[in-house]
This record gives sequence, C-alpha cells and structure tokens, in this order.
Amino acid sequence: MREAVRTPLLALGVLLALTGASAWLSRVPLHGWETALALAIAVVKAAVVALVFMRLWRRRGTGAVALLSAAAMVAILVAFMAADIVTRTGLVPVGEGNEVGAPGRR
Amino acid sequence: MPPPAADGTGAPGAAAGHFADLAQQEHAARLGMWIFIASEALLFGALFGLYGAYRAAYPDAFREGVGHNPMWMGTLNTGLLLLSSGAAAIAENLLEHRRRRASLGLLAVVLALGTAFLAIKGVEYASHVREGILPGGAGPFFDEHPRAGLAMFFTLYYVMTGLHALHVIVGLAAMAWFAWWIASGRQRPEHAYRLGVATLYWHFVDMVWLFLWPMFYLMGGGGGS
Repeated sequence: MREAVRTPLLALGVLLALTGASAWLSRVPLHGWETALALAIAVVKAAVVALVFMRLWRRRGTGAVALLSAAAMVAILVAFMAADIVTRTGLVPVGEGNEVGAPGRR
Repeated sequence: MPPPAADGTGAPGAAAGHFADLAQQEHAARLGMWIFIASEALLFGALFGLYGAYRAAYPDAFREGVGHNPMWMGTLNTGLLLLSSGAAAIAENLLEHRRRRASLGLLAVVLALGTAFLAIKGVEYASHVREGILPGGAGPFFDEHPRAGLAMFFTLYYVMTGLHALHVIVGLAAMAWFAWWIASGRQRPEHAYRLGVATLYWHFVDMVWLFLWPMFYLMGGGGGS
C-alpha cells in the first residue's frame, strides 16, 4: 500500500527536479548545446513517465512493444525528414519574403 | 439480462462474455489503449518532424519566436501537468487497493490541475492575439517583425499546442467521467483497471507536453535570446 504512493511520488520528485534543471539550463549559454540538452532532458522525463506512471517497468509486454514501435516509426520519420533537409539545402532558397510555405510573404 | 460471467466466478458483469476471464479483458483494454497511443504518437511525431525541418531552415526566427513566448507560463504548465500525471498514477494505485474516496479526491486534483493548465493556455493565447500574433502570419506583429520564418514558428505553435490542448480537454472529460463512475458507487473493485486505461492516455498527453515545452518556450539559444 505504501509502495502504491511512494514510487509515483518519487518519480514526480525526479520529474519536477528535471523540469527545474531544464528551465535553469535554458538561461545559460551553452554554445549550441542548448537544444540537444533540452531535448535529452525531455527524453529522460518521458522515459520516467512511461516506466513509472504508465507502468512499463512492471508490465513489459505488448504495451511496451506498441510504444517502442511508435517511437521507432517517429524516429525513422524524423531521421528521413532531417536527411531531406540536410541534403537539399541548395534547392530551397531561404531569405526575406521567400521562405517555404509562405511564398512572397514574411 | 447480462450473460453469465465467463471467468467462472459467476459474478455478473465481472468479465464480458467474449473474454475468458477478467485478466484477459484487462489485457485487451490496455493493449487497445496502447495501440491508440502509438497512433497518436505518429500524429504528433509528424508535427515534431515539421517543426525540426522549419527550425533547421529558419534557426534565428525560431529562436526569436521562443524568446517571445512567456517562459514562466510554459514552465508553470509543465509543473501542473506533471503534478496531475502523478496524482492520476496514485489515484489508479489507490483504487486498486480499494481506497475509493482517496482515489476520487486525487481525480478531483487531476481535474483541477488540468483545468488550470487550459486556463493558463487561454491567457497565453489571448496575450498573443492582443499583440497581433495570429496563425498563418496574420496580424500586425508580423509587419513589425518581418523576419522570414517567424510566421511559420507561430503557426506551428498554435497548431501543435492547440492540438495538445484538445487532447487535454478529451483527457479531462475522461477523468471527469471516471470520477463520476467512482462517486456513483457503481464501480466494482475488479474493474479498477478501467481507470488505469484512462490514465494511460492522460500520461501520454503529459508526455507530449514534455517535448512541446522546450520546443516553444526554452530552446531560444541561451539567455532567452
């Protein structure tokens, strides 16, 4: 019974601490590492939510398979989009009033 | 007249007729929610990819956009959603331990925190609208700040946080329904897992915000620049 309250509270404490750390680090110049660090902390927090709150730590099985499959699909999608952006930089002119999605304006 | 329980307990309503027992029914319900969550992850994943693509194309405009969003509101909302997720997880555990009233109280906390999240989001949207920041690059703000890509940042901001807010509303409706279900006394101890299925969705909504928060409020390049 005590465990039913203690474990989520502990996870909540970790999540709030990570939130504070992320907010504080966003105010510190990290020479280009701000984005990677903010997203890395978000991934750790999401993992804590999945493992403790969503009980993947206790119930590994079909739920974990579904979540990992979705994560893999999203990773593939984002990776191919990133590859597209990186390899066609010369094809998309970027400038004032000429951006993608709003041709000729803003 | 409901069919007799197929789990051998003879308890009416213990398990639906097409399940062998309650354990199988619970497994099917949780798996169904997990598959739904996976499809939702793909929906948001596509939007995250879009954000990444435009951020790569317009890094300075996106930093300027992040710097313009009220960080304290985003941070406060992150805390509210995390607290609500923790409360939902404990409410589920307590219901399994047959602590009905305590579980109900925590569900009320979840509802209050979720509503506060939406209220803060509403204040934030209203503030942006007053400044002339509207989706699609509409509004006088973009005439005063003609940087390329800024309109795209705020369009994505409205679309992604708005879609997330819709999910919060759906989650709150589900939580309210379960609170009513427990309060009405119709909830049976062996059906406590149903609240667990709903809280899975609520935790997912929280998880999505964990990424939206840095994307729209933190990643401004240090010092909020």
